[in-house]
Amino acid sequence: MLEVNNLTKEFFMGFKLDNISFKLEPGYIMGFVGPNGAGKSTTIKIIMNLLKKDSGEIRIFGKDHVESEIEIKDKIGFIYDESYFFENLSIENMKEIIAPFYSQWDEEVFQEYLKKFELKPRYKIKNLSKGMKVKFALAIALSHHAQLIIMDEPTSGLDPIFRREVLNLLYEIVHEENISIFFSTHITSDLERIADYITYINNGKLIFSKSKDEIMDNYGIVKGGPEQLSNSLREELIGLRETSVSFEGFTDKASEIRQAYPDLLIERASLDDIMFNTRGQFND
Amino acid sequence: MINLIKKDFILIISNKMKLYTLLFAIPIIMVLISYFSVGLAHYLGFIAIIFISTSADEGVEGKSSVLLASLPINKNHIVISQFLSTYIIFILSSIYTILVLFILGKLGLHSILDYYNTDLIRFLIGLSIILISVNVPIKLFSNRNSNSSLSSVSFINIIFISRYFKMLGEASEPFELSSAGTIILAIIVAASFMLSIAGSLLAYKDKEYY
Repeated sequence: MLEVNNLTKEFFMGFKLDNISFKLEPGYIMGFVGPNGAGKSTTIKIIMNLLKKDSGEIRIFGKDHVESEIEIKDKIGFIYDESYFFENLSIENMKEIIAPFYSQWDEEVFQEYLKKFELKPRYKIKNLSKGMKVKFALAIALSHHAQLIIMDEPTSGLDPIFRREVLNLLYEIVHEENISIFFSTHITSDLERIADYITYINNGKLIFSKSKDEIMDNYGIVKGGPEQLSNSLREELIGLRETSVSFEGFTDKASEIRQAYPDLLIERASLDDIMFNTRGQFND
Repeated sequence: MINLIKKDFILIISNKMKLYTLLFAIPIIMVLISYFSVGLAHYLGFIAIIFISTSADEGVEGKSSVLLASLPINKNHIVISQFLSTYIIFILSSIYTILVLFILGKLGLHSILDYYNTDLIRFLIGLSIILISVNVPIKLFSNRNSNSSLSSVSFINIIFISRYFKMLGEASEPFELSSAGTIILAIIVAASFMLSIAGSLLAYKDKEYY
């Protein structure tokens, strides 16, 4: 569905997207995480051919994303981190501009989403709240039978209730319509809820791209008493914190440690823990 | 292509400020200025129409350019449609303005249409093509405040050309364009038209959206 191989892009100011590779299969949700400035939006802009890559290959639906740009974009729904709509227009006028460009625009589906999201066609876009703009962007993205939805921080700035609604909707869409979603965010709890795969980049470098289950199996927080902290275990732990009565450390070899040290308590690491503890792994 | 042109019409109709300026302000201001100088009235009227036809909306510059670039649209079509819609809006606005001026003349206001002659029409058409050839690429590639850029370009044109062609003269003096002037104007018009379209097509392919 979406395949990025050895993607590289260097900017004048020094930031470099360095050799990014990942693959999203049909029918899955991939979370694209990283701290602010990690290169998430840049990667999405390159995928959408809004920025030119220096090297590497991007294939969407098996086709080169530049050579088959129009054909590919006809099957992509996109939601960006801010509203790029014409602010002076009404929802109806905006739809009139966008709809004719999609070969499979479905007016019935669009009207259903407007009703579902309680959006009136006469509403001016400049008067919509951030949440309503995201709802409108979702309605547009989902009304032309897109096979891939690309979203850049769609839930940032939204209240928790609406965020949960959006995530539930995305989950339903993927499972009912077999489309794929590529979803960048720095709100990791969103991904823990719905993502099948997580791709994590930091400072322009890929830290990992794995299934969520694999990540949850491999990463963990190891806890125990000081007498259990051997030198070999110490070498396996990242961000080790010791007190006189206990220690706590993060590991990316949770299953190995579990086998080697069955007496230790190994808790599941959250994505926040993983991002925090692996942030420096590939820094220069 | 038709959809892109339709988009520009939707944008201009939705922008009440632009629409009302085109419909009401320009003809009235032209008549008022014509009491001082008919040549200047025509000239400023055309400049104003071109300015509004090409002035910055959210269409191709600014944030909404990202929306257009994300839709399944051929980039060449974005460029060509921008020129086409500008010319269409300009021609329709000019015809409308001339009709209003004609009606105002019949109602007893200063009849500035009497000042028209073929030299003036040739000059204004040539000038319009040059200005559109300059302003549309600015609109296509300016990421920041293209309105001010456009204003500057139009303003420089007003000062330069009006001084050169002595258009601020008396209303009774007919506008004359010599045959040498016509040839020079034709060459500049053709060159600016070709360069503007070809350059825009080439550059737009590599446009990046940061």
